[in-house]
Amino acid sequence: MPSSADPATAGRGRLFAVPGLVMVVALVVVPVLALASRTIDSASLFGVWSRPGIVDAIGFTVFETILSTLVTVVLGLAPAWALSHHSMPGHRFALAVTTVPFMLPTVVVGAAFLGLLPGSVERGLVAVVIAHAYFNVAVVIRTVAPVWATIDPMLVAAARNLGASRSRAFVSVTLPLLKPALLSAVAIVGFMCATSYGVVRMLGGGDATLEVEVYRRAILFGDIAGASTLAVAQLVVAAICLFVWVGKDRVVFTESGHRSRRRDHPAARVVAVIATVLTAVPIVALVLSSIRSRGHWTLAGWRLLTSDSDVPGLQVDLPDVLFRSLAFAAIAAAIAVPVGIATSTFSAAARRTILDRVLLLPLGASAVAVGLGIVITYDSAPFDFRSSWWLPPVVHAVVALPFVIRVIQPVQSRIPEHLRSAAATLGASPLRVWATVDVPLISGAIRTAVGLSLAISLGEFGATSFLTRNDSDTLPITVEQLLGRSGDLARLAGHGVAVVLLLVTLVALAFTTRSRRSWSAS
Amino acid sequence: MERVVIGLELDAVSVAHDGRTLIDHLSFGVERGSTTALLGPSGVGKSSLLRVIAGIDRPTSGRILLDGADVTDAPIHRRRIGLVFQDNQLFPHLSVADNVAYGLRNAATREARRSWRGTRTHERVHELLSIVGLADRGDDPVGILSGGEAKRVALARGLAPTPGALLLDEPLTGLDRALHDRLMEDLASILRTTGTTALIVTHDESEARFLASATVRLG
Repeated sequence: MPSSADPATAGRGRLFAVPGLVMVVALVVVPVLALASRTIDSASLFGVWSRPGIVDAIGFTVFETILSTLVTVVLGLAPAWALSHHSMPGHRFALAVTTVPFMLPTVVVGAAFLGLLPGSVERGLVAVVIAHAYFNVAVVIRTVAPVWATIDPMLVAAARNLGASRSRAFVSVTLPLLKPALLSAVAIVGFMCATSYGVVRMLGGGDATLEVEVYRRAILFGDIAGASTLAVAQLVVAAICLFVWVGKDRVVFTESGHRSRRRDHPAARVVAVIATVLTAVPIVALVLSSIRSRGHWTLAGWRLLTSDSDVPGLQVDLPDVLFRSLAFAAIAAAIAVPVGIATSTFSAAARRTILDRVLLLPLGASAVAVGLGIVITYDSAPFDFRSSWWLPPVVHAVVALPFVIRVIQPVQSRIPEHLRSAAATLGASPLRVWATVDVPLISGAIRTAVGLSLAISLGEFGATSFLTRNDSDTLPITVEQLLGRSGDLARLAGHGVAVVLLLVTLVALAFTTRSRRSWSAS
Repeated sequence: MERVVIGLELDAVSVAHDGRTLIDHLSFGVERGSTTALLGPSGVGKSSLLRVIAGIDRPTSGRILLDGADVTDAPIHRRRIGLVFQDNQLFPHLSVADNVAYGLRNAATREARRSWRGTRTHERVHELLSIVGLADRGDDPVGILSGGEAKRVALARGLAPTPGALLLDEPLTGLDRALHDRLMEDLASILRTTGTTALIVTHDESEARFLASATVRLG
């Protein structure tokens, strides 16, 4: 296995990155280049911007991104402060619960708020901003709380002792020390909101972000050139942001570092309880929405899903859709995790290379652009894969790959080289060293990666909405289709499928919480 | 005969930590402009007492008076009792000069902040840094300071807003012998020069004798 100290071994180690590289190039880089070529070939490069709806989409994207980010960061500060008190009883439970929304499929969040919000605001800007805040508050908590926990309370006491009021001490001491973490949170949340697709498809009503506009142009209006131009323009902006962000050592989703001893604070408990309850409310609303309609309890939606329906337009074979989603998730994890481990084995030895960043491209490439690009690229012989059953799970694997690498690579890179040397001096071959030293020490991270891959595949909606056919719908596609129809029965059934998606996603995420005792924790 | 004026006074103060009483009905006074040493072994509650006097924690009973006024219930930022922390607690995001200026720019009252506007803050910071021997280090980040330099900055920062009393929590602990002796002499000189009412926590008898005109023993 590669060692940074040995150039020859490191050279061989590059081979481990080949499978991941091939996947990313074939399913992200080539499709995106195909999109770009359509843009260049067409006269729409400049003309598209004057078409109706485009300026509105840009304006809505910018406005909702700024508003959503602002609301998310403001709402996230209080729970971030509360959860920086590690001595608080139930701290880990509250942290886990408040993190769950970020891991949920976007259509589940959309369905939950369709069930929760009153009819007057259930679609439109307000609904989108609330859903984005719910979805992304976890980013603020997980990014800011660990840094806040490292700020010694005595530093604030020192400021107060020198005459500063509570607010002045916060502004002049706490806030500057939180600034890097806050900037990271703003960058991530802003990126998530700007490229939001599922939530806006579900809750946007007449409003559309650029992502949704790409989908509308390509699928509803058949304006492939216009959709390509928009997708490429967004990708360029996203790529610049991502490269700038990855280039800096930003604080992100870390729990490491010195934690100062914080006294338990009654207000922190109250805030943590409120945050936990508020996180649970939309989930409860989602479940209730599947069994309650117009003030009456009913199982009509569930009956529709579990029996042969003769209602026109509402024939949903739930077991079939569920099995397909689970199979796709299993295949995606079976591809993403081994490829991610192989890539991390290389990446741990050679960080911050161009290759490293190429492998992170799926993080920055919008799922909609990737989906559209694949549809355009692989639609003629000998590469006519558009109707292949395996295409969605492989694309899911590519989407999951950067997350797998981000989970495994830091853990792998922290394994002391002398452990491998010790095993080698005892006679272990390189493969045995890897199997008996590396693998056991990264086993916790591998379990987390499996859980994440399953959850990502189960909830993937952006690319899948371009790739599935009528007879190969997944759970998220079915949820969106049902909730996009009028009528109480469709709505009940849509929420029912969303509940099923929620449950299987939570089971997948249970993998990630079971693997706490990993090398990273030590 | 000259009348003794008490600057800082503790009246039957009790201190508890995690439900355990550390100090029970302690009373003593520190003469205005003088230094008193608080002596005692580790774990006896010396630092806890300083936190209570500074207003970070509350006493379980008793009163704390500064220049005759009861400040027991005064909020930490308004009681005018400075504290030099054992581990300095310098603000890592501010320069040496900005650390020293912090208490001037963030004073509790608007009038006080207004009075320190303009060049007065700069002059005061320069004066304090000169006293502690770091006049040319104002622009340095605090992260590059040695242990002794950091102590001096913490002392200058504590003295800058001219507190009614200054509490020093083991200010010479953790320094090597030569630095310890040099800083002890400087500290005695600075406290004398500035006429500060000071209460110093230490567990070193010789340190207490050198720095203080009176001693209070705990434990």
